[in-house]
Amino acid sequence: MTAGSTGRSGATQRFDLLVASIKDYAIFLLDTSGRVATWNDGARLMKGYAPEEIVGKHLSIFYTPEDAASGRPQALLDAARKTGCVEEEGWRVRKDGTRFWADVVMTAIVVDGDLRGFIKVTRDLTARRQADEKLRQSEESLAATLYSIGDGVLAVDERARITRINPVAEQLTGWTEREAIGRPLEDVFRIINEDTRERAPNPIARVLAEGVVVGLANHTTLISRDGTERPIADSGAPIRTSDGGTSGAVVVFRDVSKERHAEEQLRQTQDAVRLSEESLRATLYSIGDGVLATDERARVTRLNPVAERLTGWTEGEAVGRPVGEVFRIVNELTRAEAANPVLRVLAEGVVIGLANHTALIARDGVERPIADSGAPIFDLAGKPRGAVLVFRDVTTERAAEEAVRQSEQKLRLMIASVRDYALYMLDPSGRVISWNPGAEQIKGYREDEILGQSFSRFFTPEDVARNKPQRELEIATREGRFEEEGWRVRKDGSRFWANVIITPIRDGSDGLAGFVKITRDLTEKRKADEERLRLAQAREAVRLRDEFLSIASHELRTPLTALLLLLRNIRGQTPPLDTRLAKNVDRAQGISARLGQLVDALLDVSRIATGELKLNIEAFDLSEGAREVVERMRESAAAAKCELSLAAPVPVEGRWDRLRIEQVLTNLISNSIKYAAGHPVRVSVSRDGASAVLQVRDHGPGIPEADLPRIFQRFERAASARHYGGMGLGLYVASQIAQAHGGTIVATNPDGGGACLTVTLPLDPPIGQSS
Amino acid sequence: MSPRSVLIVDDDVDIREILADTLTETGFEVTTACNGLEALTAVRSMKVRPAVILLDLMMPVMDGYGFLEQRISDPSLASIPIAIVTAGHGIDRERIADDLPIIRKPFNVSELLGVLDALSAGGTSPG
Repeated sequence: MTAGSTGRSGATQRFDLLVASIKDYAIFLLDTSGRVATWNDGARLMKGYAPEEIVGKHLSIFYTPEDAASGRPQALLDAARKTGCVEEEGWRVRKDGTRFWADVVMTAIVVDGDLRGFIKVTRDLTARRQADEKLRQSEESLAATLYSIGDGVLAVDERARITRINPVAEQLTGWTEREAIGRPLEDVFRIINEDTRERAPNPIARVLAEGVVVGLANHTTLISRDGTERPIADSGAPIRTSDGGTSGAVVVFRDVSKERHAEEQLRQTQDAVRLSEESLRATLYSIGDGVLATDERARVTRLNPVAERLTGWTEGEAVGRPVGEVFRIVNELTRAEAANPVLRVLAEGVVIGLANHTALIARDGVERPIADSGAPIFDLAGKPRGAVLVFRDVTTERAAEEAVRQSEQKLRLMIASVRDYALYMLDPSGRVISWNPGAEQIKGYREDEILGQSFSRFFTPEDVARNKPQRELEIATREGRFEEEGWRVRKDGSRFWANVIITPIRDGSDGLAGFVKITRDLTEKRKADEERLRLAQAREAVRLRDEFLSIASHELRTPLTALLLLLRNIRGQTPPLDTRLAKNVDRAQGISARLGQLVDALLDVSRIATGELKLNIEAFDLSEGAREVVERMRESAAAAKCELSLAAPVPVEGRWDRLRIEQVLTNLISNSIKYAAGHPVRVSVSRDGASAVLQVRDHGPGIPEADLPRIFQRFERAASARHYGGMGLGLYVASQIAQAHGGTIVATNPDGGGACLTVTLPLDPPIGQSS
Repeated sequence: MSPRSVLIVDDDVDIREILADTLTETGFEVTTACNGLEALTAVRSMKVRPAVILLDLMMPVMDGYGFLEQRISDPSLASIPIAIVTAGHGIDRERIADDLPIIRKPFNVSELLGVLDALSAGGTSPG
């Protein structure tokens, strides 16, 4: 500030404005006598006076009474007047009486050689002064600390020469501070590697070179001036200058020989703890159940992966939270919030067993039935330190249990409803311990009268005498199963044929728990089996008989042939037979011929019975066939005094086995001649649509009504055997032949008396056979 | 008229003898054999082969089927006409050539003679 600048009012105004806005400096004008002429905002803030109360006052008001009394204000003014500008630091007093350390610059305002006044600029240096004071005190305290602490402390300058060494360091190194100062660090602080015995790198070299804090080196041994070795722990740190440079370093070290032993023990303990901790962790984190641990305030400390999955919380999220927040459980049945087992464990210090019907509600709301247990965690002193909760999702188990339960129920229901089988259990000695309705039904005992009784009472006395019941149990026990069919005895003493299965029941430890016995009454089945056997035997007998019939009838033909030839030769011999002998030979020939016919019928029957009736289908005129048969039968009819007539006015062409159809007609006519001897027999052939109708009508006694349905059955005859000869085969064979052609044969007793046998044959039978 | 020769092959002695008598009376020269093997031996030993063979089917040692098989492989036998005479039990048509007439027991003499006439005339049975 120069006097020249005040001459221009614009500049003065700008200056005033600037000064007014400065807050960190008190800037004001004094008149020549040292009275305040102006006052800025910084002055107001620093000294506490408003402008109206300070302007006009002498500057001595800012001085301490001592300074004011000693004339320091006037001395300052005089110095300023003399030199133009003075600066000093000193205590000043605020309006409220408090003091502050001020830096004061006073400049004299001289215009044209005349003193006009002074500008005073004051800065509050209290904060700086306090910091300086602190530093000083700190340095003192640091030194005190340095010299009183239990560790050895060495300080070096930037060239690693000792500048300080505390008493502990003196004792450990064997050097006094006085001797040590100025010496290279290596002389005083000689360290080697405990294991290699080689000189250890001095930490200070690195501290000085890199300006970093160097941590404790392990296994370092300090060799003192007298050669004593001591294991030490040390560290080095740089001493920084205010500009960030390094002005030296400090080494702190201590004798660790004593603590080394303790440390070793600690380390071993820690290792053991760490190992057990690791193994615990591994166990904890790999087990299949959820594990949740809490501290003594029920806050989660651990959560294994399964627990994470079940609760929906990660361990990281869950740790520190109240257990109730992470492990939310409700009673499945009542839906009420369930008491958290951790709280009970912590409150009572007891192990809590499985809770039933507990559901865990996961963070996402998914609900799972769980089984859980809780246990307190004690420290070595036996104090509870928390709780551990082990729980698992029992959804699957529950489903399996439910399935087992349902299956058991079904089984029970089934056993109870089984009536065809006796299903019951025996204890290992063979006493009945359960009974079902089937057992009651088969054996006749009610449950209340048989429970506790030996199962030997179901056996026959003979079997009991032979110790069979016991042997059955032995076999079942030895071989895992016993089965047989045999006689058993009901309560009423009756016997039944039983199928029995005995299976041993093993208990969990593979001991014998008893037997399951299944008994089935096979009496009916046995009867049925026997019946089936008899039927099969009967069928076999019939088959054998039919076969015999077939063979026998064929065998009969050969001697019959010989007989017929012989009779023919006798009849035709020369000289001719006399009349009476000739007549008898004729009769013998007739009998032989009839024998031949019977043999043929037998053969037909055996063919039908054995399914060997084969048709040789050919086209022919049924009227023509009938005419030939009637001609052949005319002689027999005449012998029975039957007038045989034929009505076949038109040809009836069809496809049939000609010989078989002629056999049918022959049999029917023979039948009529036999049963209606002496009465006319009329044969007719006609066509009815797609069928041919062949009818033989007689005027004999007719067929008894009761016999009509069975006249065509095998070996049936309508007439009594005493009246008529023959075997009744003709009509049966005729009906079988008609059926083989897809036709029918019906017997009726028409109005006007006699019997009428009607054969209906399809013109083109539904069979593919042809000759 | 020179006598026609016939070989009767049948295991039933009554048939053999009575049929032999019958045919002899009718003018045949008759030889008999009681089974197929004997028939083969007989035919092969004859200076003059029979004009016709009447062959039963069911016989011990060698049955009629066996004889028919031998006949197929022996051209001298194959030229002799044969009629099957059978009681009809167990006829296996597969093993009997279609052109062989079958006479079922019991037969009447006129039926038999008709077949024999047809065969010795060089034709086949009218059926």
